[in-house]
Amino acid sequence: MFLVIGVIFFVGAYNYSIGTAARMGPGYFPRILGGLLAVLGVVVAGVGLKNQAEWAKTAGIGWTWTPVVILTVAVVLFGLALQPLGMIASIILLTMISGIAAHDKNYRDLVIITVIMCLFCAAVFVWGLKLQMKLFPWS
Amino acid sequence: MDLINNLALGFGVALTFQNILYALIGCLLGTLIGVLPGIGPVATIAMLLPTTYALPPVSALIMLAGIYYGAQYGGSTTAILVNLPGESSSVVTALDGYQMARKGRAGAALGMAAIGSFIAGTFSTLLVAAFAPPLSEAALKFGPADYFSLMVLGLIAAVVLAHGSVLKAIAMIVLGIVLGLVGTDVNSGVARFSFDTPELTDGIGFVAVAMGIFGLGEILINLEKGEAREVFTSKVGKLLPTLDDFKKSAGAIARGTGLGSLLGILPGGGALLASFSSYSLEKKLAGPNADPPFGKGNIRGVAAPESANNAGAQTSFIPLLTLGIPPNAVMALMVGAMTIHNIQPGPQVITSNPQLFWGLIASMWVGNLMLVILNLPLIGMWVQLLKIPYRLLYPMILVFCCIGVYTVNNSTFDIWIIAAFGVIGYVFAKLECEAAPLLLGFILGPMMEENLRRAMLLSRGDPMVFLERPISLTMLVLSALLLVVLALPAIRKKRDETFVED
Repeated sequence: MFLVIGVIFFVGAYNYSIGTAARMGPGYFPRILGGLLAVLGVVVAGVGLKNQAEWAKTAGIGWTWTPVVILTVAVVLFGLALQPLGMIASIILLTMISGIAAHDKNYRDLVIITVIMCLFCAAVFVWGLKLQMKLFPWS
Repeated sequence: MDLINNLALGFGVALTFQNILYALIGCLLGTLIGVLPGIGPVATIAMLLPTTYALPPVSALIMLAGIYYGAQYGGSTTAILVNLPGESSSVVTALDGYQMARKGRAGAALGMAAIGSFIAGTFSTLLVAAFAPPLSEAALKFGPADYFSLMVLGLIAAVVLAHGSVLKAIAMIVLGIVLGLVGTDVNSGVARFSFDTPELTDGIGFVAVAMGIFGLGEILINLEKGEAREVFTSKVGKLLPTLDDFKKSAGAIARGTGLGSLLGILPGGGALLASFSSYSLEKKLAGPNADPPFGKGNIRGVAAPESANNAGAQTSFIPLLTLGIPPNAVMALMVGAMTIHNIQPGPQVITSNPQLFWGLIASMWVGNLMLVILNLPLIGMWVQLLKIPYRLLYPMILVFCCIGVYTVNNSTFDIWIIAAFGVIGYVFAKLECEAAPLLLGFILGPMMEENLRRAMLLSRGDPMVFLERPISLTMLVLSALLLVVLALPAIRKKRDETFVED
């Protein structure tokens, strides 16, 4: 994985003038690091190949993807909703969706925590600190 | 004497009503997140950065610093009562602390942890006050080449002190540096790696990165582990340790403080390393015939690491305040906090903002005092907090992360960065790559590039400049030595032991 990222940056750096060592262009430093990263990637991968346990980990065995997906979706939706729909609606989306990921779901608690968070954030961020955020779609 | 005058100035700043209030808020918040497992100071400070906009810079830094050392206090409470480290730096405290709690001596353990922390805090505050001015004077003589070498040393040291595979840690650092380079090039104004996304030309916000990895990523890991929390509900017992406890612990506290202060100054060090090493040291010194044996409720095993982590937390401010170089992830965030308030961290802070500098130092001692006075009576309340189930906690953390990062730039793009780095953080955790070096590289990367270019420009492209300047040479030799030492099998085994055994 490091290898892939390293190569991307190494190649990406070709777009920028390297310059000379004395007057370095914007591509000089990333080029060195991209190369370094790629080399490290090869070595890490090499070490990993020898080790069976490492294989299993890399292949994604024993990973729990469900919460990862749920939480990512929740956060992305929050980002999408914040500007058009306002803070309250976004918080409701975020807490309700992310709450699904818990082992011991309890919807009553979830609703309570959502209400508390809405009130608290409105009080602290909008009324208290006067940050530029609208609470509702129409405000 | 200068020191006295300076400290007087500092206390003048720290003891204003407003600053006492913010130190108190910081300490309470720090203790809170220290007590709660699953959320650490990095995520909390990242979340709170935006709320400090409205504050004067001194108050903001005082509050954020309070969170860091407050967390060291809070972590011990959970470790002793629940046998779970509330904070990673309290892992070793749980070993003997929980055993003491089971024997009905939880109070003594808690009390000793607090007293040790306070002594360590007092000593390390004095240390910061005494050493920072001469160091920052020396730092003014540093040229770009010296800075570059110093950062190399810092990053290498971070590798040595990181858990797990050395290779992976180096790779994480390089990855962090590369990610830090995204955005407009300072010298030429060319947008790099922005993929024509206007949001990326400003670079990736480091608050978003920190929150993604340490906030969201951590939540994902915790959700996977599920919940296994068992609050030790029986009586806490008398808080004041016995005279015998004091006798036993005095040496441990002194050694813990010394070792912790030293490790805090080192780049890559800080509270975590301090507590681990001082526990090992104490165990070695006590030998196998200790009574009671280590791991079975020896009070020295509580006093030493707790003193050490507090000392380490405070002395890690030294490199930040004098050189402008953060030695660990929390300090990296402090750099961010200072930049937000238009303060360039570095040796000039002490002369250009003496109020801020000395106020911050004095507030550390004030904060420590508050922690001892407040926390011992409040322990019952913190224990109650531990009963909040994680399923309620993590949506709250998420909301604060998202809103917090949005308010930094009013940009929804940063929220997506959180989502992305949350996944990245989870993947790295599963691959056993530590995320702290990545954040350090991310912060230091742009600084390194700038200093490298400046040095090369000054030397007309002659790389020998790094070897010709004595300061730079020393740093590079030290880095090389560290790498060699690391490669030696004997040391390597030792290092693995230090981290695995405990």
